[in-house]
Amino acid sequence: MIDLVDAFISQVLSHPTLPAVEHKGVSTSYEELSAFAFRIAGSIRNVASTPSPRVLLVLPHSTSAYAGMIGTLIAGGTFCPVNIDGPASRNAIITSTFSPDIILVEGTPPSFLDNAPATTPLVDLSRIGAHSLDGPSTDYSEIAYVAFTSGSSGEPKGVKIGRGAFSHFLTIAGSYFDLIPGERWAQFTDLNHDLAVMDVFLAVTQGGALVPLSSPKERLMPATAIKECGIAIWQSVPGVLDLMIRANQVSPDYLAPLRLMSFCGDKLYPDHLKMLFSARPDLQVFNTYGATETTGFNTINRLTSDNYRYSCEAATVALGDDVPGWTISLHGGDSVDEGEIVVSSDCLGLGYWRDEDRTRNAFRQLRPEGGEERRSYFTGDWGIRKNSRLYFSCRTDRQVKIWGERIELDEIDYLLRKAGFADAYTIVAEGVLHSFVESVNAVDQDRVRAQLSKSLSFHSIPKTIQSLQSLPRTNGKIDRRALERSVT
Amino acid sequence: MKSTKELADPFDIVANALGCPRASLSVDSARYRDHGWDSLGHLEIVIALEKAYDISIDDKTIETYATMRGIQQLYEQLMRGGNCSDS
Repeated sequence: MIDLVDAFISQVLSHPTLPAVEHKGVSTSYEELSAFAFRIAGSIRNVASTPSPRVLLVLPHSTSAYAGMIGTLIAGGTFCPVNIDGPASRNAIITSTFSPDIILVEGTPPSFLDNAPATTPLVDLSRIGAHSLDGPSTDYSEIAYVAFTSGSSGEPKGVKIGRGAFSHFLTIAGSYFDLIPGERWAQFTDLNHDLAVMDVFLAVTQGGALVPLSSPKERLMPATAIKECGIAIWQSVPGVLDLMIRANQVSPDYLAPLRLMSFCGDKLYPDHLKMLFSARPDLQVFNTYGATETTGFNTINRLTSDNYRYSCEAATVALGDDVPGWTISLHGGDSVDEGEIVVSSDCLGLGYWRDEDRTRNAFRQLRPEGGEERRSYFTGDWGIRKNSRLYFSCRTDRQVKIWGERIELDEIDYLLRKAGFADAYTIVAEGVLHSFVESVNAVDQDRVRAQLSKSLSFHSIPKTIQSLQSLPRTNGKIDRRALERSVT
Repeated sequence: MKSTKELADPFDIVANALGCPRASLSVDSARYRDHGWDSLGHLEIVIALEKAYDISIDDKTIETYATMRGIQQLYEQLMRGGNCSDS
């Protein structure tokens, strides 16, 4: 297994002058990106008081963010990327929970850092010093990065991704993409998501040119960016396809530069594939499956216009075959062809950030029939097999995905109780969030939503918040069906 | 550009694009503030404005028309006979 920093350096040595990042008309070669990352590593080591520093990346979609990730790993540290456009309260909690040794910023620090300890050094990448490390640190943290996702206790939870496991994933996954050096790889996903970190390292460990899509038009009409920037590789949640479809841009003209699209993080539908292959019959499409906790994606379905129909025998597209190193099994169903999706591997995430109890509950040892005991993650996703193909069916808990973003409904309820309501319960009806709170008075929905927006992303804020004298219960449990009938 | 007589009411345009009651909108309505006015909702609005008011879709217009107030100002300007590129 090749360490991801060595894999990057190998690309620098092989293609020093090829573009590593192309952003707003400025091209940064592999040699230049490497020099920048080594200077960042030098700055980190200059101010770090520990051998494996925790580095918070407070940076926009840009060359600086990518160099910050690579530089942190060169310095032997662990990085945690935040979405600088996310809710300030949430970012402040992540900052406090991660308790960084160093914070990387570019220009004026955002206000959510106001409460960070004054003793935590801020390194401004727009004025970084010339000191550079001679070589990558050989003494490095076993944690490559920490990704924060929605947490049911009301606060985001951090998932620790191991450096060895992530390096293994990149080696295996990289072979699927079969990148031609210099091919342009769109970097669309917000940086705090594991999918964004996958974008960055899958591209720079294979000689790809990252293209950060950061302008309002690129974000709203991504197919315009595919056409104008000559994007060959696209990776995102499938929801982005809906933007392309609505903008009437799933056409040969807009998608001409594409060679491959890879989707992860939410449901891909047969109609999506039908439209894509109708526009570009020669396109390759990957439907992949995995959780942040399982390091990258763990299944892959390689789809073409010739074979995709065989993977469309359910409401969504089949998830595909196991990626070598990860084993999928189904548990708790009435037959062997259905059950909770369990991922077993030596390359799972290292657990939750500073939360041993949660880690013990989520990651368990499992002995498959006739096999050896393996560390396993119970995903909470219910899967079914049809004609030996695995399909996602539904969730077994109160986690939902809206626009690919993981949302714990318990987190919304917690924040509503914190806002002063005696009790609260949130449901999803036809893809829309609705909350019910116990209150004798009518709810000032605008005020409560404004309060929630300080902690929750836009997609996590309920459309309606209705007051009830008491939440309906059957045998002590919330009667969800009664609430569904109450949706107005 | 369409004659001012033909200009559709901006609240009707946004309500149609978002599929919400007109009464649920106010001049303070904005992207990521009102439910439904998410990325897809905003795309619907921008496309509807392009059709109704002949605006061009670029970085500036996407941000300027991310609030009902901005769209209202565009409408008033067009009603006065101004060009949307003046905004």
